[in-house]
Amino acid sequence: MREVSVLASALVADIDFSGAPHLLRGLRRADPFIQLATLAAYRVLEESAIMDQCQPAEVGIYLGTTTGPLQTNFDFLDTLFDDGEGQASPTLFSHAVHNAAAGYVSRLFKLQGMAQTITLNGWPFLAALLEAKAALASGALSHAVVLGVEESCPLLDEAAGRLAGVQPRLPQRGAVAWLLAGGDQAGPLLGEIVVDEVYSGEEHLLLRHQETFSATLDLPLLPPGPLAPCFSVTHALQAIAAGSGQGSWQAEAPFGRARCTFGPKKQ
Amino acid sequence: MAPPAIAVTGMGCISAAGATLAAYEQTVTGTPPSCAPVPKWLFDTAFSFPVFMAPPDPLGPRARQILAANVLGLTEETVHRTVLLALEAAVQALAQAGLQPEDIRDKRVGFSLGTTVGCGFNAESYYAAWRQGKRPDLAPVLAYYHANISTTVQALLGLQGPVAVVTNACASGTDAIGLAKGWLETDRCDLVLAGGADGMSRITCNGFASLLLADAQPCRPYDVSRKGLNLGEGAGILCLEKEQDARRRNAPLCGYVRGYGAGSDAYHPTAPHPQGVGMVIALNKALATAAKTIQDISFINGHGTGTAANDLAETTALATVFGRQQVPLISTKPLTGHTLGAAGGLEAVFTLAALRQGRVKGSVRCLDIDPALPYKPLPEHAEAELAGAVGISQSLAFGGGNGCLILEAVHA
Repeated sequence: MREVSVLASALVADIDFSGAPHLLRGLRRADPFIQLATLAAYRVLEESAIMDQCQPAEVGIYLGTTTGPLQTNFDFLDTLFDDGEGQASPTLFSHAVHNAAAGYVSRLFKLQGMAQTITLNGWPFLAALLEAKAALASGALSHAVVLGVEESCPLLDEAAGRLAGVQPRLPQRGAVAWLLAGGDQAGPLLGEIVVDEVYSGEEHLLLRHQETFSATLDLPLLPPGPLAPCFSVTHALQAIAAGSGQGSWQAEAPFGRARCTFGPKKQ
Repeated sequence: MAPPAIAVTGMGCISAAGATLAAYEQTVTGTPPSCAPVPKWLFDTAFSFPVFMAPPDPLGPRARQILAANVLGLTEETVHRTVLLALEAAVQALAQAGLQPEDIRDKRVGFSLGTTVGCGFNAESYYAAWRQGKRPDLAPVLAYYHANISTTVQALLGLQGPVAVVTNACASGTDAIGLAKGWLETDRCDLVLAGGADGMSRITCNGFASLLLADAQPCRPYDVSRKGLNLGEGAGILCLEKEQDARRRNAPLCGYVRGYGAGSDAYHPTAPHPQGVGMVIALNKALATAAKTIQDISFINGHGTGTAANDLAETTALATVFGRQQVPLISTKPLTGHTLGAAGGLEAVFTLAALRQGRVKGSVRCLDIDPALPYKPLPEHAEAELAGAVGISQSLAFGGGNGCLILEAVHA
């Protein structure tokens, strides 16, 4: 089995294409979920400038999400309710499928390897990372763009607020991307990844108020939600990469535990 | 060191073509199931296109017993229909593998299942009220979190191990089996239940109607008169184990998952690449991982939805890979409808069933093969003896995803 390195990583909290206006034409029908995924993928591919050296069929996409483009699903329902059956929007329907974002990333960046979208309640980004690492370690792919994408959904935000007996939680949306490479490459080595997710009470999944993160260095405090583990582990990676390249990150919650280790860093 | 061989020790399926594998095998040799507009008991809809429904009550006695005894507090009324379909197929697969859930509580039992409908928010009445400013009871929102088919079915069976829900649209079931193969090869678990499940949904019905992909008549994959697909529902699940583990416990061997490959079209949000470039990548990768050549393949269970673009792209890809060699190609969707995330799971089961029989009948309602298709399918009234035990089950999906499995049967 080959070693797997992290060549680049990116956090995207806002949809801002000012650094990449050339992508907008291809995104004119895209929803925020797709735009977030595209921006995050663009940043790691641009930073690493690997595409000239890669075979398109050897670059995979792995995307993890908890609820996918759920707001687009509701936007489609709006057209169904307001315009009637037979008049619903085909564009919204085709963009409401969970793998639409991976399809856009594949098309816009000409990546023709495996495009895998994994939906899990707990840590889908870590699950996607685990699958990408396995594919690279086995030699099935040369590189992989691993994405964690979450879109805010007012219906779930309101439900979470009502369940917790407080105001609706603040909307959170964002994406992270890691660019992985198999073989002898520069960057922190991806070590052990563990994702032990178990069935849990729905309030834990909706509120995520008992989820905690820890690492071998200080992490920023993040508001609870499905985006928090994506950002937390990426903050950990970036801090570790800036230092010795060795360290670990883990999450604990009523719905299980997840862990990721790094290092040492290859030069 | 070569990865371990991945054995199929059990198969479960439920669809319009039969509530069990035995029922499906009777359907194949008998009268094809009929399709009809969505029944009123499921939901009210103006969608008039015919669909293929699984039995209204999908649970067999054992699955019903498991649901009734569950400690999760779930009932048939509070669980999404996709979960019920998956539970039934999983129980069938375990039973054929000679296993009861209680036998494997000390094992690492993974669940890798594909779906589309199962991961959506399908409680329309809740959303309809909510968007009007009402604040209905939260039960449908909480139930949404129970619709994650892998974690919920795993919990209902009292099992532990890795979980993934693959949401690659219509290739989800195929890709979920490919993922499971990797789990066993890297020793992440001892056994995996892998495949796909999807229940019928009003959202999906209207979505496909809006895309003008649904046929008002029974679908006719590969036929020159084809006008689109019919939606269906169901679940197909394989019980997978490392061959050495299966032999150690004298498990029945149905076959093997020999290879898996995937590739992307990088072309269009919904339409397949006209040359099927992603499917060509998937086919070649699957053959390579299986260490097989096209000469080893004796049967292809195609995606064969019956849409003009799908059937052309798929057969173009097959012609690219197979050249002049033609092995029997059929679609089983005229028996089940397009079951979306379940399709790859169901069709893997059907592929192994055909390979075990050693013969296959042509695609139902493919009477006049489209001359534009570069690779010719087996038409309805034809039958073929299969030259070997190795076949292909393949899927194409929205988003340009393509997945391919190389399956090998152990003859019954």
